[in-house]
Amino acid sequence: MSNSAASAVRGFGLGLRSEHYGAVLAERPRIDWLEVLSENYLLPGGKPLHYLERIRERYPLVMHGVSLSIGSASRLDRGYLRALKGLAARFEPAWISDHLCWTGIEGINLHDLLPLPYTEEALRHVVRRVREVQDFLGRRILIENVSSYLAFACSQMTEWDFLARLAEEADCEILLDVNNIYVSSVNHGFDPLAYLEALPLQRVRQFHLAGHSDRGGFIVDTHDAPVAEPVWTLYAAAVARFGNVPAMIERDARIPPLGELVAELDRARAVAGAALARAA
Amino acid sequence: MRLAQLQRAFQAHVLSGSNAIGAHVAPARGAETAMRLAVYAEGYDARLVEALAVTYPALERALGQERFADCVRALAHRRPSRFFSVRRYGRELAELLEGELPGARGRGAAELARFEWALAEAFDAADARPLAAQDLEHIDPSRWAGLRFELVPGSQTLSLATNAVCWWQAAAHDRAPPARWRAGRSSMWLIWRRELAVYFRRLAQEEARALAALRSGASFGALCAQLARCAPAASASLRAATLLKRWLGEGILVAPGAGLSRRARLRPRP
Repeated sequence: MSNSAASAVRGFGLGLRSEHYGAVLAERPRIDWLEVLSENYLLPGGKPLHYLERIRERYPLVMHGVSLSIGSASRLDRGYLRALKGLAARFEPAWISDHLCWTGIEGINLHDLLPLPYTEEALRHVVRRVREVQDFLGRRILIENVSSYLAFACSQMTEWDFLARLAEEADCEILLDVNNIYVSSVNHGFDPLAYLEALPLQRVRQFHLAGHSDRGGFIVDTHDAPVAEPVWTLYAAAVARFGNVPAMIERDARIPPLGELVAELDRARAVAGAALARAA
Repeated sequence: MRLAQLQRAFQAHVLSGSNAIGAHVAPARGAETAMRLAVYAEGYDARLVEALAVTYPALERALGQERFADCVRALAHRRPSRFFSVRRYGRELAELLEGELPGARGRGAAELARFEWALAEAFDAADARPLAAQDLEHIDPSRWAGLRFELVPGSQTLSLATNAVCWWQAAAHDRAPPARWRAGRSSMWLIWRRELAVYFRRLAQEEARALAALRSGASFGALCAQLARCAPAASASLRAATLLKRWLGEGILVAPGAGLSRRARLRPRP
Protein backbone atom coordinates (compact mmCIF):
# COMPACT_ATOMS: atom_id res chain seq x y z
CA MET A 1 0.00 0.00 0.00
CA SER A 2 1.45 3.41 -0.87
CA ASN A 3 0.65 7.08 -1.08
CA SER A 4 0.94 7.62 -4.81
CA ALA A 5 1.15 11.43 -4.77
CA ALA A 6 3.47 11.55 -1.75
CA SER A 7 6.49 12.62 -3.79
CA ALA A 8 4.71 15.91 -4.60
CA VAL A 9 5.13 17.04 -1.01
CA ARG A 10 8.67 18.13 -0.21
CA GLY A 11 10.15 20.94 1.81
CA PHE A 12 8.24 23.26 4.11
CA GLY A 13 4.51 23.76 4.49
CA LEU A 14 1.91 25.58 6.52
CA GLY A 15 -1.41 24.64 8.02
CA LEU A 16 -4.00 26.42 5.85
CA ARG A 17 -6.33 28.60 7.92
CA SER A 18 -9.36 30.52 6.65
CA GLU A 19 -7.76 33.82 7.75
CA HIS A 20 -5.13 33.30 5.04
CA TYR A 21 -7.26 32.14 2.08
CA GLY A 22 -7.04 35.52 0.35
CA ALA A 23 -3.35 36.07 1.07
CA VAL A 24 -2.34 32.59 -0.12
CA LEU A 25 -4.06 33.20 -3.45
CA ALA A 26 -3.00 36.82 -3.87
CA GLU A 27 0.57 36.74 -2.59
CA ARG A 28 1.68 33.31 -3.80
CA PRO A 29 3.93 33.02 -0.71
CA ARG A 30 6.99 30.80 -0.57
CA ILE A 31 5.23 27.77 0.86
CA ASP A 32 6.01 24.39 -0.66
CA TRP A 33 2.74 22.70 0.35
CA LEU A 34 -0.27 23.09 2.61
CA GLU A 35 -1.96 20.96 5.20
CA VAL A 36 -5.73 21.28 5.68
CA LEU A 37 -7.84 20.19 8.62
CA SER A 38 -10.08 17.60 6.98
CA GLU A 39 -13.14 18.30 9.15
CA ASN A 40 -13.23 21.95 8.03
CA TYR A 41 -13.95 20.77 4.49
CA LEU A 42 -16.35 17.91 5.13
CA LEU A 43 -19.18 20.21 4.15
CA PRO A 44 -21.81 20.25 1.41
CA GLY A 45 -20.41 23.47 -0.09
CA GLY A 46 -19.61 27.10 0.62
CA LYS A 47 -16.56 29.25 1.19
CA PRO A 48 -13.99 26.77 2.56
CA LEU A 49 -14.43 24.38 -0.36
CA HIS A 50 -14.55 27.27 -2.83
CA TYR A 51 -11.14 28.51 -1.66
CA LEU A 52 -9.66 25.06 -1.33
CA GLU A 53 -10.48 24.32 -4.97
CA ARG A 54 -8.49 27.35 -6.04
CA ILE A 55 -5.62 26.82 -3.62
CA ARG A 56 -5.32 23.16 -4.64
CA GLU A 57 -4.65 24.28 -8.23
CA ARG A 58 -1.47 25.97 -6.96
CA TYR A 59 -0.18 23.93 -4.03
CA PRO A 60 0.29 20.26 -3.14
CA LEU A 61 -1.93 19.32 -0.23
CA VAL A 62 -2.08 16.90 2.68
CA MET A 63 -5.18 16.21 4.79
CA HIS A 64 -4.99 16.16 8.57
CA GLY A 65 -7.93 14.95 10.66
CA VAL A 66 -8.97 15.29 14.28
CA SER A 67 -12.01 12.99 14.49
CA LEU A 68 -10.82 9.56 13.40
CA SER A 69 -10.66 8.56 17.08
CA ILE A 70 -8.42 5.65 16.19
CA GLY A 71 -7.99 4.66 19.83
CA SER A 72 -11.64 4.75 20.86
CA ALA A 73 -13.11 1.52 22.21
CA SER A 74 -16.26 2.29 20.21
CA ARG A 75 -16.67 1.33 16.58
CA LEU A 76 -15.10 3.41 13.82
CA ASP A 77 -17.45 6.02 12.38
CA ARG A 78 -18.07 4.72 8.86
CA GLY A 79 -19.91 7.90 7.89
CA TYR A 80 -16.82 9.90 8.77
CA LEU A 81 -14.59 7.54 6.81
CA ARG A 82 -16.83 7.73 3.75
CA ALA A 83 -16.80 11.54 3.91
CA LEU A 84 -13.01 11.54 4.33
CA LYS A 85 -12.56 9.24 1.36
CA GLY A 86 -14.82 11.46 -0.74
CA LEU A 87 -12.84 14.56 0.19
CA ALA A 88 -9.58 12.79 -0.63
CA ALA A 89 -10.95 11.73 -4.03
CA ARG A 90 -11.82 15.36 -4.77
CA PHE A 91 -8.62 17.03 -3.58
CA GLU A 92 -6.04 14.27 -4.07
CA PRO A 93 -3.90 14.89 -0.99
CA ALA A 94 -0.43 13.39 -0.91
CA TRP A 95 -1.44 11.69 2.33
CA ILE A 96 -4.01 11.63 5.13
CA SER A 97 -3.10 11.82 8.80
CA ASP A 98 -4.77 11.77 12.20
CA HIS A 99 -3.75 11.34 15.82
CA LEU A 100 -2.75 8.59 18.21
CA CYS A 101 -5.62 9.28 20.56
CA TRP A 102 -9.33 8.87 21.11
CA THR A 103 -11.89 11.68 20.97
CA GLY A 104 -14.90 10.09 22.66
CA ILE A 105 -16.79 6.90 23.26
CA GLU A 106 -20.33 5.65 22.61
CA GLY A 107 -21.04 8.16 19.86
CA ILE A 108 -19.92 11.27 21.74
CA ASN A 109 -17.18 13.50 20.38
CA LEU A 110 -15.39 15.57 23.01
CA HIS A 111 -13.47 17.31 20.22
CA ASP A 112 -10.18 16.74 22.02
CA LEU A 113 -7.16 14.53 21.42
CA LEU A 114 -7.35 12.34 24.52
CA PRO A 115 -4.51 10.16 25.80
CA LEU A 116 -4.42 6.39 25.47
CA PRO A 117 -3.13 3.88 27.99
CA TYR A 118 -0.06 2.26 26.42
CA THR A 119 -1.08 -1.34 27.01
CA GLU A 120 -0.84 -4.48 24.88
CA GLU A 121 -4.65 -4.46 24.66
CA ALA A 122 -4.72 -0.87 23.37
CA LEU A 123 -1.92 -1.61 20.91
CA ARG A 124 -3.74 -4.62 19.43
CA HIS A 125 -6.91 -2.54 19.20
CA VAL A 126 -5.25 0.42 17.47
CA VAL A 127 -3.25 -1.78 15.09
CA ARG A 128 -6.48 -3.50 14.01
CA ARG A 129 -8.25 -0.20 13.48
CA VAL A 130 -5.41 1.45 11.55
CA ARG A 131 -5.43 -1.53 9.20
CA GLU A 132 -9.20 -1.25 8.85
CA VAL A 133 -8.96 2.45 8.02
CA GLN A 134 -6.13 1.87 5.55
CA ASP A 135 -8.09 -0.89 3.85
CA PHE A 136 -11.14 1.36 3.58
CA LEU A 137 -9.21 4.36 2.26
CA GLY A 138 -7.00 2.24 0.05
CA ARG A 139 -3.86 4.01 1.25
CA ARG A 140 -1.46 4.19 4.17
CA ILE A 141 -2.26 6.80 6.77
CA LEU A 142 0.05 8.79 9.03
CA ILE A 143 -0.46 8.67 12.78
CA GLU A 144 0.65 11.64 14.87
CA ASN A 145 1.85 11.64 18.49
CA VAL A 146 -0.23 14.00 20.66
CA SER A 147 0.65 16.21 23.61
CA SER A 148 -0.54 14.74 26.89
CA TYR A 149 -0.96 15.99 30.41
CA LEU A 150 -1.37 12.71 32.26
CA ALA A 151 -0.37 9.06 31.96
CA PHE A 152 -2.31 6.00 33.02
CA ALA A 153 -1.13 3.67 35.76
CA CYS A 154 -1.98 0.62 33.64
CA SER A 155 0.42 1.55 30.81
CA GLN A 156 2.85 -1.25 30.02
CA MET A 157 5.18 0.55 27.62
CA THR A 158 6.37 4.03 26.70
CA GLU A 159 4.49 6.14 24.17
CA TRP A 160 7.43 5.93 21.74
CA ASP A 161 7.55 2.12 21.94
CA PHE A 162 3.79 2.04 21.39
CA LEU A 163 4.06 4.32 18.34
CA ALA A 164 7.04 2.42 16.90
CA ARG A 165 5.27 -0.93 17.26
CA LEU A 166 2.04 0.52 15.86
CA ALA A 167 3.82 1.79 12.75
CA GLU A 168 5.48 -1.56 12.11
CA GLU A 169 2.56 -3.84 12.99
CA ALA A 170 -0.14 -1.78 11.23
CA ASP A 171 2.17 -0.79 8.36
CA CYS A 172 1.33 2.88 8.75
CA GLU A 173 3.53 5.95 8.74
CA ILE A 174 4.29 8.53 11.40
CA LEU A 175 3.57 12.23 11.54
CA LEU A 176 6.06 13.30 14.18
CA ASP A 177 4.95 16.39 16.07
CA VAL A 178 8.15 17.78 17.50
CA ASN A 179 6.34 20.27 19.73
CA ASN A 180 4.14 17.49 21.13
CA ILE A 181 7.20 15.42 22.02
CA TYR A 182 8.66 18.42 23.82
CA VAL A 183 5.40 19.27 25.62
CA SER A 184 4.91 15.69 26.82
CA SER A 185 8.57 15.34 27.79
CA VAL A 186 8.20 18.31 30.15
CA ASN A 187 4.82 17.19 31.47
CA HIS A 188 5.96 13.60 32.10
CA GLY A 189 9.67 14.11 32.69
CA PHE A 190 11.18 11.98 29.92
CA ASP A 191 14.11 12.56 27.59
CA PRO A 192 12.74 13.76 24.20
CA LEU A 193 15.84 12.44 22.42
CA ALA A 194 14.99 8.93 23.63
CA TYR A 195 11.64 9.35 21.83
CA LEU A 196 13.39 10.21 18.56
CA GLU A 197 15.86 7.34 18.92
CA ALA A 198 13.09 4.76 19.35
CA LEU A 199 11.19 5.48 16.15
CA PRO A 200 11.90 3.55 12.93
CA LEU A 201 13.72 5.76 10.42
CA GLN A 202 11.68 4.81 7.35
CA ARG A 203 8.28 5.40 8.92
CA VAL A 204 8.53 9.13 9.68
CA ARG A 205 6.88 10.93 6.78
CA GLN A 206 6.12 14.42 8.13
CA PHE A 207 7.05 16.79 10.98
CA HIS A 208 4.78 19.23 12.78
CA LEU A 209 6.09 22.34 14.50
CA ALA A 210 3.99 24.60 16.71
CA GLY A 211 4.01 26.86 19.74
CA HIS A 212 2.89 26.06 23.28
CA SER A 213 1.99 27.85 26.52
CA ASP A 214 3.42 27.57 30.01
CA ARG A 215 0.66 27.06 32.55
CA GLY A 216 2.93 26.81 35.61
CA GLY A 217 3.92 23.22 36.34
CA PHE A 218 2.69 22.27 32.91
CA ILE A 219 3.06 23.24 29.33
CA VAL A 220 0.02 23.04 27.07
CA ASP A 221 -0.07 22.52 23.31
CA THR A 222 -1.95 25.68 22.40
CA HIS A 223 -0.70 26.46 18.87
CA ASP A 224 -1.05 30.15 19.74
CA ALA A 225 2.57 31.29 19.65
CA PRO A 226 5.74 30.99 17.59
CA VAL A 227 7.73 27.77 17.85
CA ALA A 228 9.70 27.85 21.13
CA GLU A 229 13.50 27.68 21.29
CA PRO A 230 13.71 24.19 22.85
CA VAL A 231 11.43 22.90 20.09
CA TRP A 232 13.74 24.31 17.42
CA THR A 233 16.62 22.48 19.12
CA LEU A 234 14.63 19.25 19.18
CA TYR A 235 13.64 19.79 15.54
CA ALA A 236 17.32 20.00 14.59
CA ALA A 237 17.88 16.67 16.36
CA ALA A 238 14.88 15.17 14.53
CA VAL A 239 16.23 16.33 11.15
CA ALA A 240 19.65 14.91 12.01
CA ARG A 241 18.04 11.54 12.72
CA PHE A 242 15.26 11.30 10.13
CA GLY A 243 16.63 13.51 7.35
CA ASN A 244 14.92 16.10 5.21
CA VAL A 245 11.36 15.08 6.07
CA PRO A 246 8.60 17.53 4.97
CA ALA A 247 7.93 19.88 7.88
CA MET A 248 5.19 22.40 8.59
CA ILE A 249 4.08 24.97 11.15
CA GLU A 250 0.64 24.86 12.77
CA ARG A 251 -1.02 27.96 14.20
CA ASP A 252 -4.61 27.77 15.42
CA ALA A 253 -5.05 30.75 17.72
CA ARG A 254 -3.76 34.34 17.73
CA ILE A 255 -3.19 33.78 14.04
CA PRO A 256 -0.73 36.38 12.68
CA PRO A 257 -0.53 37.77 9.15
CA LEU A 258 0.63 35.14 6.66
CA GLY A 259 4.00 36.86 6.23
CA GLU A 260 4.94 36.16 9.84
CA LEU A 261 4.33 32.44 9.41
CA VAL A 262 6.22 32.39 6.13
CA ALA A 263 9.16 34.04 7.93
CA GLU A 264 8.93 31.41 10.68
CA LEU A 265 8.98 28.77 7.95
CA ASP A 266 12.24 30.30 6.70
CA ARG A 267 13.67 29.64 10.13
CA ALA A 268 12.60 26.00 9.82
CA ARG A 269 14.44 25.88 6.49
CA ALA A 270 17.55 27.33 8.11
CA VAL A 271 17.44 25.00 11.14
CA ALA A 272 16.94 21.96 8.92
CA GLY A 273 19.70 23.08 6.53
CA ALA A 274 22.17 23.53 9.36
CA ALA A 275 21.23 20.19 10.94
CA LEU A 276 21.67 18.37 7.62
CA ALA A 277 25.03 20.09 7.03
CA ARG A 278 26.22 19.03 10.49
CA ALA A 279 25.05 15.47 9.91
CA ALA A 280 26.74 15.20 6.50
CA MET B 1 -8.55 -1.63 33.63
CA ARG B 2 -9.90 -2.39 30.16
CA LEU B 3 -9.73 0.28 27.46
CA ALA B 4 -13.50 0.77 27.24
CA GLN B 5 -13.91 1.14 31.01
CA LEU B 6 -11.04 3.59 31.19
CA GLN B 7 -12.45 5.72 28.39
CA ARG B 8 -15.96 5.64 29.86
CA ALA B 9 -14.57 6.87 33.20
CA PHE B 10 -12.47 9.56 31.51
CA GLN B 11 -15.42 10.80 29.46
CA ALA B 12 -17.61 10.85 32.57
CA HIS B 13 -15.02 13.04 34.26
CA VAL B 14 -15.03 15.53 31.40
CA LEU B 15 -18.83 15.61 31.09
CA SER B 16 -19.97 15.34 34.67
CA GLY B 17 -16.94 15.73 36.93
CA SER B 18 -17.00 12.11 38.10
CA ASN B 19 -13.72 11.28 39.87
CA ALA B 20 -13.49 7.55 39.20
CA ILE B 21 -10.78 8.09 36.58
CA GLY B 22 -8.45 9.72 39.15
CA ALA B 23 -7.42 6.37 40.64
CA HIS B 24 -6.12 5.25 37.23
CA VAL B 25 -3.89 8.24 36.56
CA ALA B 26 -0.22 7.57 37.20
CA PRO B 27 1.19 9.76 39.96
CA ALA B 28 3.80 12.15 38.61
CA ARG B 29 6.02 14.98 39.72
CA GLY B 30 5.20 18.56 38.88
CA ALA B 31 1.43 18.60 39.11
CA GLU B 32 -1.25 16.70 40.96
CA THR B 33 -3.70 14.39 39.23
CA ALA B 34 -6.60 16.81 39.72
CA MET B 35 -4.66 19.54 37.92
CA ARG B 36 -3.77 17.21 35.08
CA LEU B 37 -7.37 16.09 34.65
CA ALA B 38 -8.51 19.71 34.77
CA VAL B 39 -6.52 20.42 31.59
CA TYR B 40 -8.91 18.10 29.75
CA ALA B 41 -12.13 19.08 31.53
CA GLU B 42 -11.47 22.82 31.23
CA GLY B 43 -10.16 22.38 27.70
CA TYR B 44 -13.43 20.72 26.70
CA ASP B 45 -15.48 23.65 27.95
CA ALA B 46 -13.16 26.26 26.47
CA ARG B 47 -13.02 24.54 23.08
CA LEU B 48 -16.79 24.39 22.69
CA VAL B 49 -17.29 27.95 23.93
CA GLU B 50 -14.75 29.09 21.34
CA ALA B 51 -16.36 27.02 18.57
CA LEU B 52 -19.90 28.20 19.30
CA ALA B 53 -18.75 31.81 19.56
CA VAL B 54 -17.83 31.45 15.88
CA THR B 55 -21.33 30.15 15.06
CA TYR B 56 -23.13 32.63 17.34
CA PRO B 57 -21.10 35.88 17.35
CA ALA B 58 -24.12 38.18 17.76
CA LEU B 59 -25.61 36.02 20.50
CA GLU B 60 -22.33 36.13 22.39
CA ARG B 61 -22.32 39.88 22.12
CA ALA B 62 -25.97 40.18 23.12
CA LEU B 63 -25.64 37.98 26.19
CA GLY B 64 -22.13 39.02 27.16
CA GLN B 65 -19.16 36.66 27.09
CA GLU B 66 -19.71 35.24 30.56
CA ARG B 67 -23.42 34.47 30.20
CA PHE B 68 -22.85 33.06 26.73
CA ALA B 69 -20.05 30.82 28.01
CA ASP B 70 -22.28 29.62 30.90
CA CYS B 71 -25.00 28.64 28.43
CA VAL B 72 -22.59 26.83 26.10
CA ARG B 73 -21.03 24.97 29.02
CA ALA B 74 -24.51 23.89 30.14
CA LEU B 75 -25.23 22.62 26.63
CA ALA B 76 -21.85 20.90 26.33
CA HIS B 77 -22.52 18.91 29.50
CA ARG B 78 -26.19 18.12 28.91
CA ARG B 79 -26.08 17.50 25.17
CA PRO B 80 -22.50 16.71 24.14
CA SER B 81 -21.51 16.64 20.48
CA ARG B 82 -22.19 13.60 18.35
CA PHE B 83 -20.74 15.18 15.22
CA PHE B 84 -17.34 14.59 13.66
CA SER B 85 -17.10 18.28 12.88
CA VAL B 86 -17.54 20.82 15.65
CA ARG B 87 -19.06 23.15 13.03
CA ARG B 88 -22.21 21.04 13.13
CA TYR B 89 -22.55 21.17 16.91
CA GLY B 90 -24.73 23.61 18.82
CA ARG B 91 -28.12 23.64 17.15
CA GLU B 92 -29.84 22.91 20.48
CA LEU B 93 -28.51 26.09 22.04
CA ALA B 94 -31.75 27.92 21.15
CA GLU B 95 -33.83 25.37 23.04
CA LEU B 96 -31.55 25.62 26.07
CA LEU B 97 -31.76 29.43 26.09
CA GLU B 98 -35.56 29.34 26.19
CA GLY B 99 -35.32 27.25 29.34
CA GLU B 100 -32.43 29.10 30.96
CA LEU B 101 -33.36 32.74 30.46
CA PRO B 102 -36.72 34.13 31.59
CA GLY B 103 -39.28 36.12 29.59
CA ALA B 104 -38.64 38.13 26.46
CA ARG B 105 -34.88 37.85 26.94
CA GLY B 106 -35.07 34.06 26.75
CA ARG B 107 -37.38 34.09 23.74
CA GLY B 108 -35.31 36.75 22.00
CA ALA B 109 -31.98 35.05 22.67
CA ALA B 110 -33.42 31.75 21.44
CA GLU B 111 -34.63 33.41 18.25
CA LEU B 112 -31.27 35.10 17.74
CA ALA B 113 -29.65 31.65 18.12
CA ARG B 114 -32.04 30.16 15.53
CA PHE B 115 -31.33 33.04 13.19
CA GLU B 116 -27.55 32.67 13.48
CA TRP B 117 -27.81 28.89 13.11
CA ALA B 118 -29.75 29.40 9.87
CA LEU B 119 -27.05 31.79 8.62
CA ALA B 120 -24.39 29.18 9.43
CA GLU B 121 -26.32 26.45 7.63
CA ALA B 122 -26.71 28.64 4.56
CA PHE B 123 -22.98 29.41 4.70
CA ASP B 124 -22.07 25.70 4.53
CA ALA B 125 -24.89 24.59 2.23
CA ALA B 126 -24.31 22.81 -1.07
CA ASP B 127 -23.30 25.03 -3.98
CA ALA B 128 -25.86 25.66 -6.70
CA ARG B 129 -26.10 27.96 -9.68
CA PRO B 130 -29.08 30.25 -9.22
CA LEU B 131 -31.81 30.10 -11.83
CA ALA B 132 -31.56 33.08 -14.22
CA ALA B 133 -34.19 34.68 -16.43
CA GLN B 134 -32.48 33.30 -19.54
CA ASP B 135 -32.95 29.75 -18.23
CA LEU B 136 -36.69 30.33 -18.67
CA GLU B 137 -36.61 32.02 -22.08
CA HIS B 138 -37.14 28.88 -24.09
CA ILE B 139 -39.81 27.29 -21.93
CA ASP B 140 -42.90 26.69 -24.03
CA PRO B 141 -45.80 28.82 -22.69
CA SER B 142 -47.95 25.70 -22.41
CA ARG B 143 -45.53 24.26 -19.82
CA TRP B 144 -45.45 27.26 -17.48
CA ALA B 145 -48.39 26.23 -15.34
CA GLY B 146 -46.72 22.89 -14.60
CA LEU B 147 -43.27 24.24 -13.75
CA ARG B 148 -42.04 23.63 -10.23
CA PHE B 149 -39.26 25.69 -8.78
CA GLU B 150 -36.84 24.79 -6.02
CA LEU B 151 -35.12 27.08 -3.58
CA VAL B 152 -31.33 27.11 -3.33
CA PRO B 153 -29.85 24.63 -0.83
CA GLY B 154 -29.62 26.00 2.71
CA SER B 155 -32.37 28.56 2.23
CA GLN B 156 -34.73 28.78 5.18
CA THR B 157 -37.80 30.69 6.22
CA LEU B 158 -37.92 31.57 9.92
CA SER B 159 -40.81 32.94 11.92
CA LEU B 160 -39.50 35.41 14.51
CA ALA B 161 -41.64 37.13 17.12
CA THR B 162 -38.98 39.24 18.84
CA ASN B 163 -36.51 41.93 17.82
CA ALA B 164 -33.73 39.29 17.49
CA VAL B 165 -32.76 40.55 14.03
CA CYS B 166 -32.21 44.07 15.45
CA TRP B 167 -29.81 42.55 17.99
CA TRP B 168 -28.03 40.72 15.18
CA GLN B 169 -27.75 43.89 13.09
CA ALA B 170 -26.37 45.86 16.02
CA ALA B 171 -23.68 43.23 16.60
CA ALA B 172 -22.85 42.80 12.92
CA HIS B 173 -22.48 46.55 12.34
CA ASP B 174 -20.82 47.24 15.68
CA ARG B 175 -23.66 49.50 16.81
CA ALA B 176 -25.26 49.96 20.21
CA PRO B 177 -27.70 47.12 20.93
CA PRO B 178 -31.46 47.74 21.25
CA ALA B 179 -32.55 49.00 24.67
CA ARG B 180 -34.30 45.73 25.49
CA TRP B 181 -35.61 42.45 24.10
CA ARG B 182 -39.12 42.90 22.75
CA ALA B 183 -41.69 40.30 21.83
CA GLY B 184 -44.57 41.09 19.48
CA ARG B 185 -46.30 39.79 16.37
CA SER B 186 -44.34 37.24 14.47
CA SER B 187 -42.78 38.06 11.13
CA MET B 188 -41.28 35.81 8.49
CA TRP B 189 -37.64 36.01 7.38
CA LEU B 190 -35.95 34.41 4.41
CA ILE B 191 -32.27 33.39 4.63
CA TRP B 192 -30.30 32.17 1.62
CA ARG B 193 -26.84 32.12 0.11
CA ARG B 194 -25.88 33.42 -3.31
CA GLU B 195 -22.38 32.41 -4.36
CA LEU B 196 -20.38 32.96 -1.15
CA ALA B 197 -22.53 35.64 0.51
CA VAL B 198 -25.42 34.90 2.87
CA TYR B 199 -28.47 37.19 2.64
CA PHE B 200 -31.67 37.63 4.59
CA ARG B 201 -34.75 39.77 4.36
CA ARG B 202 -38.19 40.11 5.85
CA LEU B 203 -41.06 38.56 3.92
CA ALA B 204 -44.56 39.91 3.42
CA GLN B 205 -47.21 37.35 4.34
CA GLU B 206 -48.17 36.76 0.72
CA GLU B 207 -44.60 36.03 -0.32
CA ALA B 208 -43.99 33.81 2.72
CA ARG B 209 -47.04 31.75 1.75
CA ALA B 210 -45.84 31.60 -1.86
CA LEU B 211 -42.39 30.34 -0.83
CA ALA B 212 -43.95 27.79 1.51
CA ALA B 213 -46.02 26.55 -1.44
CA LEU B 214 -42.90 26.22 -3.60
CA ARG B 215 -41.13 24.28 -0.84
CA SER B 216 -44.05 21.88 -0.65
CA GLY B 217 -43.79 21.23 -4.39
CA ALA B 218 -46.56 23.47 -5.72
CA SER B 219 -46.40 24.20 -9.45
CA PHE B 220 -46.30 27.74 -10.83
CA GLY B 221 -49.95 27.30 -11.80
CA ALA B 222 -50.86 26.32 -8.24
CA LEU B 223 -48.92 29.31 -6.98
CA CYS B 224 -50.97 31.62 -9.23
CA ALA B 225 -54.15 29.96 -7.96
CA GLN B 226 -53.04 30.51 -4.37
CA LEU B 227 -52.38 34.19 -5.06
CA ALA B 228 -55.76 34.49 -6.81
CA ARG B 229 -57.51 33.52 -3.60
CA CYS B 230 -56.44 36.90 -2.19
CA ALA B 231 -56.64 38.99 -5.38
CA PRO B 232 -58.40 39.07 -8.77
CA ALA B 233 -57.06 36.46 -11.20
CA ALA B 234 -55.46 38.98 -13.57
CA SER B 235 -53.52 40.73 -10.81
CA ALA B 236 -52.60 37.36 -9.27
CA SER B 237 -50.73 36.37 -12.45
CA LEU B 238 -48.97 39.71 -12.45
CA ARG B 239 -48.13 39.27 -8.77
CA ALA B 240 -46.75 35.77 -9.42
CA ALA B 241 -44.61 37.14 -12.25
CA THR B 242 -43.37 39.95 -10.00
CA LEU B 243 -42.41 37.52 -7.24
CA LEU B 244 -40.69 35.23 -9.73
CA LYS B 245 -38.71 38.14 -11.16
CA ARG B 246 -37.58 39.15 -7.70
CA TRP B 247 -36.56 35.60 -6.78
CA LEU B 248 -34.60 35.31 -10.02
CA GLY B 249 -32.87 38.61 -9.35
CA GLU B 250 -31.94 37.60 -5.82
CA GLY B 251 -30.72 34.13 -6.72
CA ILE B 252 -33.24 32.37 -4.53
CA LEU B 253 -34.19 29.69 -7.04
CA VAL B 254 -31.86 26.98 -8.19
CA ALA B 255 -30.86 26.43 -11.80
CA PRO B 256 -30.54 23.20 -13.66
CA GLY B 257 -26.85 22.88 -14.40
CA ALA B 258 -23.62 21.04 -13.95
CA GLY B 259 -24.16 18.08 -11.70
CA LEU B 260 -27.80 18.92 -11.12
CA SER B 261 -30.59 17.11 -12.83
CA ARG B 262 -32.82 19.42 -14.81
CA ARG B 263 -35.77 17.28 -13.83
CA ALA B 264 -34.79 17.50 -10.17
CA ARG B 265 -34.43 21.24 -10.08
CA LEU B 266 -36.95 22.60 -12.53
CA ARG B 267 -39.53 19.94 -13.02
CA PRO B 268 -42.29 20.30 -15.61
CA ARG B 269 -45.45 18.40 -14.75
CA PRO B 270 -45.30 14.95 -16.39
